Amino acid sequence: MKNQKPLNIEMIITNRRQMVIAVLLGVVSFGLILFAIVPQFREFLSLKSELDNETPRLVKLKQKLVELENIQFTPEFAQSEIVNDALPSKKPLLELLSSLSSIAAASSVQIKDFDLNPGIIASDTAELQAYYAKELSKDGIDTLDVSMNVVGSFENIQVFLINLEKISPFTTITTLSLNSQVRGDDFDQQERDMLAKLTTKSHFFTQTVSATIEAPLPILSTKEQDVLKELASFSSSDLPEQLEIKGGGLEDLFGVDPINFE
Amino acid sequence: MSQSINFVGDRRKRLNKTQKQDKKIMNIMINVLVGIFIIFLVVMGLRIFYVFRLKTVKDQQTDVRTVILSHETIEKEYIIFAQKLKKLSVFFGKRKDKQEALIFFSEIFGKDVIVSGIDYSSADEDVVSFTIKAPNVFVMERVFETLEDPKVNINYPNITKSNMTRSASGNYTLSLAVVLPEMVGLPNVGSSTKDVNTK
Repeated sequence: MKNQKPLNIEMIITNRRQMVIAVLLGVVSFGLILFAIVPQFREFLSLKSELDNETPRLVKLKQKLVELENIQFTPEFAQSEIVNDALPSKKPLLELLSSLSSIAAASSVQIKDFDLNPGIIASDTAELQAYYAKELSKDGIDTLDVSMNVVGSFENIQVFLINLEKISPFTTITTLSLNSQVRGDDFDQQERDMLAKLTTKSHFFTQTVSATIEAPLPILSTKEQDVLKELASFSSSDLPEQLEIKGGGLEDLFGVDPINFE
Repeated sequence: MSQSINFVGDRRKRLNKTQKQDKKIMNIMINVLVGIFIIFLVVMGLRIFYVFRLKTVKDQQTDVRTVILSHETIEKEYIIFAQKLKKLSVFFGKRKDKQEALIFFSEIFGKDVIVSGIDYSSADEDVVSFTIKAPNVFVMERVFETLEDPKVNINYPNITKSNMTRSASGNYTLSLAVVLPEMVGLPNVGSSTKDVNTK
């Protein structure tokens, strides 16, 4: 058996110093790749990916900001009052009555037997909130149902019916029946004294609208712009809104003398 | 003159050769290390650049968000405005279909026939019911012929006739349930309509 020579490190360092340095350089290079370049590169890739996500988000936000700044001056948004009148966010009872009164006067017809269905006010178990959450959120619209009899000549009733579908709040005729109040074969006489039994639905907006800060603003389609033009010809009630309460400077509204304690 | 014998001459030569090779390898390794270090610097530079850019983008986002939030009222008003307009355009569309049907039938039956009742209140929103009134049986016969006319069938293929009555004065009334074009093809449409009693 041959005796193995012990590794003479000193001799290796003396004779093959450059190889030793090369090996050390190789180890350093490997360490640099493993512990510095790879983690840095991973970090760089993650940053790049994050930047790729954040940049379009910034573009969207900037675009939205520009839209928001411009939208105030668009002719469409300037008509928001007309749209709010046509589809108010509250039950438009007074507005409807006022509009009906003005179109009835303009058409020379008389409204009789006005009947109102105000909708659900409260349920037995006071589950009104649940009702609204369930029913109204379906399409975001609730209706105020009204039935009435309209008396007048056939032509005037026709004018009234045409005008009825051009009032704010947006009202549609759901049922209509025309009868003459005069019996007999005289059609001219019959046409002069007609009775129209009507039921109408006035719509109002109940939808809860939500939006995120990054969501783009909705764009109005051509169809919606046409509707806007059509709404411009609608007649609204112009009811004055009570915004100011003027007090009389009374301290004691009931005129009761103050109680003095001794 | 004495001659000398160099016993390590060959070994020296081999060692020199090996050392030359070692030097070459060392030089290569130095170059490799320098290259790797440059790559390291480049990668680190890129990382710092991206950190800076990301910070700039996020700062800009925060600024823009703040400005957008300051326009919150306008955004809210506009979104509600757009939603309302969307709903209104649907209502207008439905109403237009019904009005067109009413005009179509009023015109096609002629002046002798009066549309004395309309019912839009069907559970099925795309069905409209009319009550028509004819002064005598001959006009009513003409109404039936008109209802079979191809022009009517093309526009409104699904029409249900019901409740024909005759009054004491000889007038005839008839209820028609018309399915508006979008809903044509659905079964039992006529059965869900309500009749308008004009008597």
